[in-house]
Amino acid sequence: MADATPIRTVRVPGTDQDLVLDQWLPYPIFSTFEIGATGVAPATTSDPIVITIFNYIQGGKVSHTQSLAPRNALSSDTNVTKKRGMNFNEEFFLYSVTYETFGITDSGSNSTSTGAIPLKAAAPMVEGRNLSFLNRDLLFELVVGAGQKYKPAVRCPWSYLRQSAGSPGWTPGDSPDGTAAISYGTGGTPSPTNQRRLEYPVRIAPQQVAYALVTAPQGPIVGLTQSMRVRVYLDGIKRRPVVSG
Amino acid sequence: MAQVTEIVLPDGRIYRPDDWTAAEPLYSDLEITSGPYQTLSAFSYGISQQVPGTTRNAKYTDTNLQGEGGRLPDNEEILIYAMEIEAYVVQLSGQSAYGPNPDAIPVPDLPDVSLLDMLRMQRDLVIKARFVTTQAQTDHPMGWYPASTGTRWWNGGARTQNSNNTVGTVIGNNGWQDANARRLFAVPFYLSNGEQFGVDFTCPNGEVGVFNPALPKVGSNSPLSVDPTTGRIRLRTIFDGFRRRPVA
Repeated sequence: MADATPIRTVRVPGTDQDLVLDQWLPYPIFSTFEIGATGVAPATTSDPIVITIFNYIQGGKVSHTQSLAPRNALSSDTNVTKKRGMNFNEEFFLYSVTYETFGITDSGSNSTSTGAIPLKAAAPMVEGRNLSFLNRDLLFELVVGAGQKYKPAVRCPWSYLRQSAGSPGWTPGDSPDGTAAISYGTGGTPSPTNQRRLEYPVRIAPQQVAYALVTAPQGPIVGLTQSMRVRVYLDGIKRRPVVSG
Repeated sequence: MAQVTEIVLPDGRIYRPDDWTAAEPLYSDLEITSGPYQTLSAFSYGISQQVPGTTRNAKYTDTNLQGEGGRLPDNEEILIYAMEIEAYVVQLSGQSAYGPNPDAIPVPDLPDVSLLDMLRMQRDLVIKARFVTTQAQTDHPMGWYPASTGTRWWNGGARTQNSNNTVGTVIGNNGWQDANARRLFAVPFYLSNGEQFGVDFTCPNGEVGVFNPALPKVGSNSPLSVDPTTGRIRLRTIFDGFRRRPVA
């Protein structure tokens, strides 16, 4: 049927009730943040980290720390359809949180010793110890519901989250080119089996406020060698309207 | 002996013998390169038709989709439990010991994908799968759909052939390579006979490997390492699940 108007609701005969046509999908929601690192190796440090994510949509500004230039979000940064929450016609059940990381800048030398081979992680690789810094210093909190900032639905050190998407790195077993070493890390094996599944899923109701906070409560991360992009996934099933045609 | 493909029942109904199998996943290739990127779609062609991103016609290693592509044949059904995306470099060119486009880390020999290129694709490609409708049923980066295929390496001072045995490399993969590393859909997708479907590989940046077109293409902003005129990376999308096919 050409040019048909999509059917979104059906009026139940004999009543004043509308049946909304929607679907449940395996549809993780993701949002990206970026951490800036400044200084000259080995004296590098991150910006203060107090970041909110899932608070912007495509076309908005990607969440970032102060030393990084703002940029507009693309579809590779987020698939959130409403800032800081669910649309009136959407619902979400969260089963797991995971992430993947990309370097924005290359890592610098970590040693001033004569003859030492500098560790190298060329962006978008992330140097292993930068992930270790995140594990040690970052806190992740998922806030669901208005006024619930002090009782988040999820709160854990970053280390508790595992990285289920990404690439393993198979090295040659020594320096690739004889002048630089390689360091590359992932938050565990990049596999879907590397996700902690919540024993009690978290529900985000229609129109309910929902966003996440990523903070470094003890201050800037001293020693972070790269500016980094982190894409956080809320893994679960989502109810959203069906558009036919 | 003639093969029975159709039985007309006494009441006029037609029965076509078929079988359900989990032994032949549905798969489709496309090939991308560095440079300006146009959205390419897997499953948009059938056997013997042109592979997206190339000028060649498809063989059975490219796809096993029958018909004109873009839809399931009238005599098939599929229940999709997982989507897996694997990558291979198709061609390198140039005589440089570091491959055609010197990268921050020397590139691997064929057909392996460098870690840098794999991360660039995972960062920049967004996969939109369409089942029956034009509305995307998935809208997630490529790394969300791990290959569950690939090679696990154990190296000791390994050097590449393309560098004349002078340098090593770092090889990547779209996720872990084990069979249990596939990501299962919480709700499987179902396609009935003749229904339309496709998987669009989109790149909101406009160029894979370059995440800020305003910046010079150096360092972290480098394009894919394959030569734009001859080199390509083959991406194979695999639908894992059950298929109903005709017996003949």
